[in-house]
Amino acid sequence: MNDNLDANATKRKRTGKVTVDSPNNLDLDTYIANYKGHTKVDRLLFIADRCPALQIDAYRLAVGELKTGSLDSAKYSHAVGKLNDALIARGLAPQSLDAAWVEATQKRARAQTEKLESELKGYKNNMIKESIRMGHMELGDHFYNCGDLSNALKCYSRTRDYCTTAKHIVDMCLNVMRVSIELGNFSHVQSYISKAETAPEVQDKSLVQAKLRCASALANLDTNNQNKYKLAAKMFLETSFEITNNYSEVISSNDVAIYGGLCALASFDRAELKSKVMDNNEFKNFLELEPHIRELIHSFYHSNYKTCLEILENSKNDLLLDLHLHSHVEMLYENIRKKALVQYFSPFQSVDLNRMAASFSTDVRRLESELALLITDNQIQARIDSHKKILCAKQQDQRSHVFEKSLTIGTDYDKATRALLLRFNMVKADLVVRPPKEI
Amino acid sequence: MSMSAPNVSGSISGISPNCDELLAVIVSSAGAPPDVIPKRLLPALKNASSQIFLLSTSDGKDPLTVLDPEKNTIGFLYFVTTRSYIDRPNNVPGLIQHLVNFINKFDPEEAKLAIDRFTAIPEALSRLASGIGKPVLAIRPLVTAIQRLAPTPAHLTTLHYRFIKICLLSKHYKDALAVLDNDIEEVDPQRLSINVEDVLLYHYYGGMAYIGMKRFDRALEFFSLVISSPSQVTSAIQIEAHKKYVLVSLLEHGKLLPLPKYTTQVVLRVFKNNCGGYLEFAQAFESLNVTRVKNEFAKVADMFTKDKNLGLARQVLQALYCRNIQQLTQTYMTLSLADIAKQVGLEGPRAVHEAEELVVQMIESGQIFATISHAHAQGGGMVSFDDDPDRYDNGLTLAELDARIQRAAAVGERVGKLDRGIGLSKEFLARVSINIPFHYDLYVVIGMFR
Amino acid sequence: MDNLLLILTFIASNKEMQCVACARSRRMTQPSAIQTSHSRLRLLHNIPPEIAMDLINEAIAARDFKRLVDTCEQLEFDLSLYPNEAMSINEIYVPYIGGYLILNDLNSARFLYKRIPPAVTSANSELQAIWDVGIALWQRQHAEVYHAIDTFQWGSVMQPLVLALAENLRERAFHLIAKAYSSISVTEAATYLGFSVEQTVESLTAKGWVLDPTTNTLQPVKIPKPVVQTTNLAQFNRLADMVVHLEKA
Repeated sequence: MNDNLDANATKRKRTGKVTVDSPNNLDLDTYIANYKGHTKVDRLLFIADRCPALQIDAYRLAVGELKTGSLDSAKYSHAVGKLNDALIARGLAPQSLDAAWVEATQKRARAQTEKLESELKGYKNNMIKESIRMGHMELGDHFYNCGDLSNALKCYSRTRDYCTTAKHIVDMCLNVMRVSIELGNFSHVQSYISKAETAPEVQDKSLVQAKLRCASALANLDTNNQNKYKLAAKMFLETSFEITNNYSEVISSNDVAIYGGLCALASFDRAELKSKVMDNNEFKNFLELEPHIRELIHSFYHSNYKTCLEILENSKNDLLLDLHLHSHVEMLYENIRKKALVQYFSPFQSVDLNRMAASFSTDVRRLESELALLITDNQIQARIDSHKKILCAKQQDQRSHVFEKSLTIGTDYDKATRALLLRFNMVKADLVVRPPKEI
Repeated sequence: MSMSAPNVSGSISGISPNCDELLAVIVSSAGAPPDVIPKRLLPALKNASSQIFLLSTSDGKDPLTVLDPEKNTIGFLYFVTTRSYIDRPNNVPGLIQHLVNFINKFDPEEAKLAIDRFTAIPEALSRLASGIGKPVLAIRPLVTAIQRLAPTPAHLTTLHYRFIKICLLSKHYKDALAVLDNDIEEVDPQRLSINVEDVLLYHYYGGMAYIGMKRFDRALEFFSLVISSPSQVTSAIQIEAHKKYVLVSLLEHGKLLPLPKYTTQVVLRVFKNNCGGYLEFAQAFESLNVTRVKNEFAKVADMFTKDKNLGLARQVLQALYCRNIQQLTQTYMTLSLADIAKQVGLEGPRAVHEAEELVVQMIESGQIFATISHAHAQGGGMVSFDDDPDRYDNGLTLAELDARIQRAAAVGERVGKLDRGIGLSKEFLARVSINIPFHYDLYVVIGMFR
Repeated sequence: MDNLLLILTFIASNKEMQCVACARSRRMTQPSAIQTSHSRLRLLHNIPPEIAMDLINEAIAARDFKRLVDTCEQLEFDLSLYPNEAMSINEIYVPYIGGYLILNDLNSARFLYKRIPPAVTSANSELQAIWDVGIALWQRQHAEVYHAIDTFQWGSVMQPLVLALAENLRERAFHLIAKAYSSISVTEAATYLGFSVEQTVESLTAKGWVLDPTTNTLQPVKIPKPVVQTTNLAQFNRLADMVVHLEKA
């Protein structure tokens, strides 16, 4: 890999968290403008936690957002605390905590909770389904605003019994999904996605579909499934462009482009890449938002590996600052690199390792080790001539293979059948290992 | 069959007790109708006190010279075994010669009527032979004994496992092959009085013998038979066999081969719970990572020593390097010896030299196909890996294929006979005719046996 | 064929199944003896002790070492069963081990040595010497083997045997180098063959190997494996039989 990473050096902390010194192209304000609601704050806090260069700004924005938009006084205090730590560490004056606001907000929150709860009680007594549903939902919204996610989830879930139309069901599912994604409880997300999908026709069906796809993709990323990147990619690629600015409490279109593009590159084969990504008109719209991803996919497809790897390197830091993607960056990059190596070799009978190393920005020694791993994994059928530094494709001699196999099968059959005959005779003669008889 | 040493009090003087009566009974049973032996002879022999067997006849002759091993098999048997079991037998070489003579001449049909006593022969022979410091004497006669007693080479007798044990103890591994290379398929507890321990112990000791002769494929087969024997509970023999099975499987195949599907779950579970160390060692070996294996080995070395498997485990460790080299042949076409040493995990100043020795050994034994070149001196020499030069296109392959097909066909024949036998048995027909009056369908049959 | 196996597997995998009750004590017809049966070990076939050593010497002279080992194995038994003043079992041990070594059956040699009582081993220097050769062979120390053979004063019985052993080892080493090396350094080749460097170069170049003076290596000439080609009508017969058999099942 490229060793000239001075400007983008990454340090690994004890906890395994990766800290990024400074971002590549990330402009905090434009980036964060794509989001709203809780995910905006969470992303800001995440970035602040991992990137010293953007720390102050991120915390400030987070504090501002919390103060204006929500009733979550706990989170506000927490954010201010972190902001002040950062400021002090840099020898700057700390920002004062608006204690008055905190107290007032807490009072307001409590009052609202009581009000909504009593209203709900009233509705329950009246037994009007719709009102009860609305009551639960409003209570859920309120808890969500206060940052009490578990109670919010409970309330949203309770609306289930009172849904009467398809729209109600879909709303409930979307709410639960939103909270679950924030909680990181993705199995929950999966089950509610299926519920929403089985709901009958809804008005803005394609938008709902798009939302469900994105949520499903995010859930797939979280699993330990072998094929998770492929599944996630498929979901992202099927998302309609309508989602732009309509799901910003969870994900932005830029995210869809980035996540989808990278997952596709890491898991699709060449044919799929062409048909599902490059010829995908809907997805083109997303790619326009993130031209470097488009560039990435094109250069990979056209075997322009040097460019491809350069782009990857240059985007790494930004991706490490992404809330959902950061834990997958290493794996995705590794997969893409492996695919590139395999694709590079596929048309050849033999390849000069020096040339190949140059194309992949590495030296021959390390390339040899990488290739050895790929060969052992059976992803390349070839062998390395370490003396002449050539990679040679392996010929499978089918005929010898068949002979070898038949001889083995013959002996194995013989052994297995004889063992069975003995076993048969033993059972017949009642020669069985039994517990010792009580004498 | 334990026998306590009778009190041979003093000489046979004065009243001169003798064994004439007993001899008379024995001799008169020879050639008599078949039920005489169980009705008259056996009770007489069993009830006689062991002292009688030590006496001479009234005219001073040794009963062993009077009796004929062929005609008076059981009588002779009782005399010779009783005499062999006392604490200080007289004339041991003479006794051994009598035993050898007996083995060569006894009547197998008559012997089967007194199988219990017959089973004492290996121990008797072994005691006597070791007593005069010549354990080798026990071996060959026992082979003959087994060959004559068993109705076919495929039948198991009570002598089998005792014989192999004696071979192991006296380190005559090669001679055990005469018996071991015949596969056991028939077990007949009624005629030959065997039980399940006979089967288990025979295959366990047999596996150990094969290990001594480095025939690991056969050893594996034998241990697998022990472990997958029909069982309701787990026998200690199966546990010990399982331990060796793990190590031998690593040696022969580089990984833990799965046991047959019909192996009882209890056996597997008990092993997993009590001897997990072996399974972890196997897992480490399969990763082919030398450091990991060495660490794992250090952790369980005590366990191996306690189970007397340390030697075997050491061989496994040695085999690790060979496995790694074999892995390399799949990935590389040429590689320098220094690189081989590094990749395989050999360390130290002689690493390259050791690597070369290993490669030469593996070429000699046919485990890999390669050539070394000293002309390319850097890295200690260059190794080129070739493909299997065996093109499988000559008479040798045809002969080999032919032989395997014959064997497979023969085994298939036996299975066919077995199947027909069952199909004609009363029980089977009774069941079938109850349910389906006039014909039977293969799949119905299978369903019935579920 | 598959169906039969199916039945067998089902029966075999269900323990207390009807099958057990199903089969009463039917006298199974003897299965055809497909298993290899070793020839019966000779029992009581005495070798008169007077001619024992002669037999051994004959076998060595004829270079029939399989016969040597068989004779010694039989003698080990005979002399134990019928001890004799004319000959003691200890006399056969040295050629016995030597025979195993030439046949490259190091395992049997090892077990034989373990069987010999220590008193006998320590008293017999020739026995110790041949065992040293055995150890060197076990550890694949070619130089040690030649050295051990050369530096000991062997008795008249053993002299031809150890010479044959050295020759045999040389031959095997020659074949091994030809198989395993495309070029081997001269010093290494000399170690394998037990010759001096000059001798090695001389004898190997005489066999057609090429000496490369720049790298000081020898390039062996590959020894082709003899190919056994036998195609005859009998095989067609068998082929036809097999096809019929398969059609039948």
